[in-house]
Amino acid sequence: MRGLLITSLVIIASCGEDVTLPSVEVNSVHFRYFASSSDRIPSGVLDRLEQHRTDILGFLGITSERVINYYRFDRVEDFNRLDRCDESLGCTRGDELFTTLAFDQHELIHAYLSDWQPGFLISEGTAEVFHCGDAIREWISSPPVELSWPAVVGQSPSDTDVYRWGVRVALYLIRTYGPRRFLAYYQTAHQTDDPALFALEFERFWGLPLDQAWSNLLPGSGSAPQPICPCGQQAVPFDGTTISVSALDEYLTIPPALEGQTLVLSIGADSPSLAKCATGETVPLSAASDQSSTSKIALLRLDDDRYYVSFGGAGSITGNWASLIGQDCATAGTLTVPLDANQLAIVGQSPLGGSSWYVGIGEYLWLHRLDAGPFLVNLTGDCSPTSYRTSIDSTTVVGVSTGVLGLTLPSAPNPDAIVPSVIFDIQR
Amino acid sequence: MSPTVLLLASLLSFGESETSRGATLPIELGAELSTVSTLGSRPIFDYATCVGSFALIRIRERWGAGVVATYRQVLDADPASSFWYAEVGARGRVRFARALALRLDLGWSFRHIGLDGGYSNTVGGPMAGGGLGLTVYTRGKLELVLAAVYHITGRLPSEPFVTQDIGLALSSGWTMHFAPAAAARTNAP
Repeated sequence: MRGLLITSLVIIASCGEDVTLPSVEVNSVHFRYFASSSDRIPSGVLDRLEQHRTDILGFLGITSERVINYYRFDRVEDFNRLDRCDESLGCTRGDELFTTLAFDQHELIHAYLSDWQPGFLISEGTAEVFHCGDAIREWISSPPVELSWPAVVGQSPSDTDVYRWGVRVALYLIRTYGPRRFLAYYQTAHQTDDPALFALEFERFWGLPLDQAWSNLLPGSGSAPQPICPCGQQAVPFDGTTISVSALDEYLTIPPALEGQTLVLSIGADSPSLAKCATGETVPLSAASDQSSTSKIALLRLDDDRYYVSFGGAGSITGNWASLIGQDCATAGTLTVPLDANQLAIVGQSPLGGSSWYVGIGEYLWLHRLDAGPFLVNLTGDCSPTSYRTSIDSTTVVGVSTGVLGLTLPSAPNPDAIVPSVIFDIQR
Repeated sequence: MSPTVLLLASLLSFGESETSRGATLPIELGAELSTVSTLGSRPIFDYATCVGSFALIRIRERWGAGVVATYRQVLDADPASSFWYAEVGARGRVRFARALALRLDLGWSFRHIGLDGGYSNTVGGPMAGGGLGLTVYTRGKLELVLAAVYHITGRLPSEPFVTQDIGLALSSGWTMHFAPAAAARTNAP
């Protein structure tokens, strides 16, 4: 009896271990943001949250005035002891969100959609569909291990294939049938660990057997999923101002380029990634990486879509515009540069090495780094203000390093010289 | 041998031992047919028809306790090739106001869904049901009861929703009394 009493007291004492919610609070219309101290509340975070909410709810067509309580803890162990999260890195219970991240996109999606509870495959997948920035985490991008749907759809979030398949299924449905119809499915499907019920509801709603949808997805299951980013977040100013990127999971948007303008990004953060907001199609910024420097320069000529840039960690980014010198080919200020022995023509220095920087881009020319292979390929077109913009493959983005820039002409009609037909001047 | 038959057999043997003390044991055997419609804004099906059987020991005419087994066929199963429930449970019943009876069922429900692609699965969870019946016909040991029924199944916590339905049931019951003579033979040296 005495032993039982002591045991009971020990249990009561351990249950009563004091776990308090973060108490420092800031508010906006739809968020109450709590942290342990004011320095754990990033400046402007409420604006980012409100914009994110507007973007996601607008994209999916949700009308809600729900106020979300965002609890930012210092350590994962703290909120796991609250018994509201099951040993997870973050969780959402109704309108309460528990995380250590300053801006937890995954849990925010759960909070926006917490009125409905579809299967874990759909709910966790949807939370990753809108995970802009930080790309989609590598473990989710990895190919799923289990390839049969009955083995996946009934699993709980402890199984990583729920995320890996979930994001692929949700992206497929959103891109095939549109976000509004996907939301209708999300609102009607039930959370279940019975694969048969999941498949029945899937086929009832979509008119498509899950077998067939799965077989549509299987061939692409090995490639990384491309998230959707509504892209209402803060844009890189492109006036030479350096923006600090303080935390993982943040991303910045690229403002729509003006006609004929080119963007120049100087990125001082690890693992930058540039992607189209709507399709998640990534732009090969990695081609611009410079092994000798932590900073990267990217010269971007993008199409009319919106883009966002994200990072693997804290750092900084500076944006500038570059514009044409001259409005047509005749006034473009053509530059004749002799080729060296390696068929390389030096046309300028990088922004880090000088105050001005000129890059010529012409028909069949390839931008070339001195210490690496060509990283801009298939650049075609001619020097015409009307045709130039569309003549560049929109997915081909020019990336340059901090080194000296050059042009090569692999099959030059005149091996002695090249004539860049369009000249850019970087505005500082 | 089905669970219903096994349970019924055990009840019958129990009845014989009781009769050895000289009292008759009335046991009611019945069959039930019902049609139900689900409640809620987004049920997993809308309509079902059910057939069931029950066996009740009647205690002082007013009370009854026993077992029930039911098969529920979902009518709007499409596109599933099969969608049904099989349920077993305990039933309690009380009669009042001469022709009325209130009943309560508690048990376990098995849900089976089969798909055209060949995949099928059966899962289980608790079920409960209730009904208010009116005796509409009596002749000898036979009676017919029309009842309004309510039924609920769930698989908490793996499915944080329940399936509820209401409907009408028509049941027929046949009451048998076990004679002391049969028990005397059983207990003879």
